[in-house]
Amino acid sequence: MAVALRSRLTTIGDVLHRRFSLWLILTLSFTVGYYLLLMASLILRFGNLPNYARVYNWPESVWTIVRSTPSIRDMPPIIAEEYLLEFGYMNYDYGLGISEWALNIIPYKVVLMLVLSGLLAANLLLLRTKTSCSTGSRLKAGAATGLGAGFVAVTSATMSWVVCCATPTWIVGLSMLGLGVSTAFWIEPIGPWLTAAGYLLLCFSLIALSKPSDTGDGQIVEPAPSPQISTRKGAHA
Amino acid sequence: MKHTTFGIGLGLALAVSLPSLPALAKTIDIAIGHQSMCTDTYTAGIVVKELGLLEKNLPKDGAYADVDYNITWADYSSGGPITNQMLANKLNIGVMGDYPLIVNGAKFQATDSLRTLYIAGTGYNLKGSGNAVVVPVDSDIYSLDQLKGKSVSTPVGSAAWGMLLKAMQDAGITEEVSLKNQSPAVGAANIAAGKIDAHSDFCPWSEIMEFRGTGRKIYDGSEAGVPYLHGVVVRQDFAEEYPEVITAFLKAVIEAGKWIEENPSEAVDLMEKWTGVEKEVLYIYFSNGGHLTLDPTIKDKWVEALKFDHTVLVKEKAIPPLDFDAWITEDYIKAAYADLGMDYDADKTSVVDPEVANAGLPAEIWHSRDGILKYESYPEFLKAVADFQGTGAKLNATYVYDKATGLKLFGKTAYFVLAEDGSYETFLRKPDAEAYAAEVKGELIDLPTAVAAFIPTE
Repeated sequence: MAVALRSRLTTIGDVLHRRFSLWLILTLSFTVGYYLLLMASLILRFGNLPNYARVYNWPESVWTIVRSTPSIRDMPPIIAEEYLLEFGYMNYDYGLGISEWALNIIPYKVVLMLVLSGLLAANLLLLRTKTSCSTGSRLKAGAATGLGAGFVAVTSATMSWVVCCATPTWIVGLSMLGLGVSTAFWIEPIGPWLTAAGYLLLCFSLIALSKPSDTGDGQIVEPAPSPQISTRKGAHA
Repeated sequence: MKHTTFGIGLGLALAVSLPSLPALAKTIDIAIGHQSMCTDTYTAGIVVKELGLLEKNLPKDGAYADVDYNITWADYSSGGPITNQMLANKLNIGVMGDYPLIVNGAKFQATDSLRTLYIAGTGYNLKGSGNAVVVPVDSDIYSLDQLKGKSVSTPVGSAAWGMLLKAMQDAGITEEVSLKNQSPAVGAANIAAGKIDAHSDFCPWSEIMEFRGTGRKIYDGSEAGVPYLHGVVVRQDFAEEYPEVITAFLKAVIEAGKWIEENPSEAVDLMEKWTGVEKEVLYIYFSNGGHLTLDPTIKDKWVEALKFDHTVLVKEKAIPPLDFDAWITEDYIKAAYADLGMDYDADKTSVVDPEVANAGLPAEIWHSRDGILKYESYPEFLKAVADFQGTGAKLNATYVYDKATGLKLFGKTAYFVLAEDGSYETFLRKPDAEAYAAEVKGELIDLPTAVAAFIPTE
């Protein structure tokens, strides 16, 4: 069992090593794309372009929390809420302006997204790599990858909306989609469990996809070159 | 040996010279989170800030003789972010409404090492006015039970949301109303455009919609009968380290309330400049007979109301438990009262019921040039409106009182009943006005119709 797992981890390592640049680009692209998608959904949902941006001194905020929170156990959840950037829409029709909605870039969540993107990119590279994983298993692993990525992506959303107490929470996305208010709040506590389930699905599918190919020499076989792939390879050459 | 001698010498030199060095000034950072779009927080927020009342009251002698104060104010559109900033210790003091206050206390008590204290109120309405349900001005909906099968929006988690839940439960229409989550600004815009059947919101949004002529109240929070209050929370570690600073802040809150009570017209004029909320709207809250009673004491009834609100939140949002005894303290507000030579117990036992307190108060006209004018009877008031309209004088607003609840209303949104004996009464809700009209064999009319009877015919 341990040998089989080690063998699969070796396969994953080999694929990532051979296609590291592509993996890195995919990882970063998925992360940036995710936040662009969140911003696009806010713009489409509310019909306004962002009209303000704020930069927060995140290191100083973290230092303040560390200095003023006696319990070490209390620190992580508070630090996890700290913003680095905020882009939003300020409604000036009433009073001096109300931040109607915002996309918050929270470093802790960015790290979670980078991990998600890294796993997703690895899964995609393995899906395109010829291992001895059967087609059925590859389909199942692909579905699990999509489901896992969906769980993590949904629960990592950092949009805030003044109606949801104006704090970034993942249920804002669900509320924006029209989910009932009470239902959204009811499922909010299961967010961390969904995130964990998402990561587990991604890890399992990664392991499933990394069954070494039976080429006799244990080497990984690259997929047949397609014009698109050739172009990508050429770009990295 | 040589190093030891040098060290001893250096130590002695420092010990001798230190007392003669000027003391290094200590800086105390005081960061306050407030809400300029929530009227009931003004006496602990924008008024204290703009009048410099905290600076005036901060201790400057004894242990604080060499202290520098670094005061910062942060304006938020709701209480939630204030709580998050307090958890991160970027705010020491927060001002917010009842529901967000409870979330604040519960979130802090859910941590191992951090706590807040609820140290004072800012103001209240005994029966819950401030929250209301509004419909588009041309809607044919006049009462809550007509919302069956309709869509109602509200900012979820706010006091208005809590009121709406209770109101729908009381009316037995909870299952038949589609509840939507909408911000105050979006809700107000949708009411103006007639895109939503009704919107429930907190102070002063309902009155903004009424004043702008886009919305009409069909339900006032006072009908729910649960007090609506706002208050001040402070990080416990800050309060314990600098109790005199907290007392100074509460003295500033008390003085802010007095300043408004003594000069309501001047106060709302300035507050409009500070907040962007129309002064005519603010007047309905801060004037004599207004919705808001400025009183920072912590009454037993308030604690009961907060406990009730907590049960609503537990049911709807699964928030953590809250130990009210550990969270609420009267120590600081009592100290502030004592410093100002005021009687805390007298204010604590005094409760203003608008129905009683506002009975017989004069109707008012806000004349653009002459300011607030008062009229003892409705015929006098209506004749004055007719006369001003005849001369083309600009009237900012008119104010009357709801006979059923004692609430102050805009004249233009009130239902007038002309009784058989020629007397007038005014009402917030159409059903109340209709019932009264039937009782006195009167006629239900609006302000323009009532005024028309006083326009000279020749």
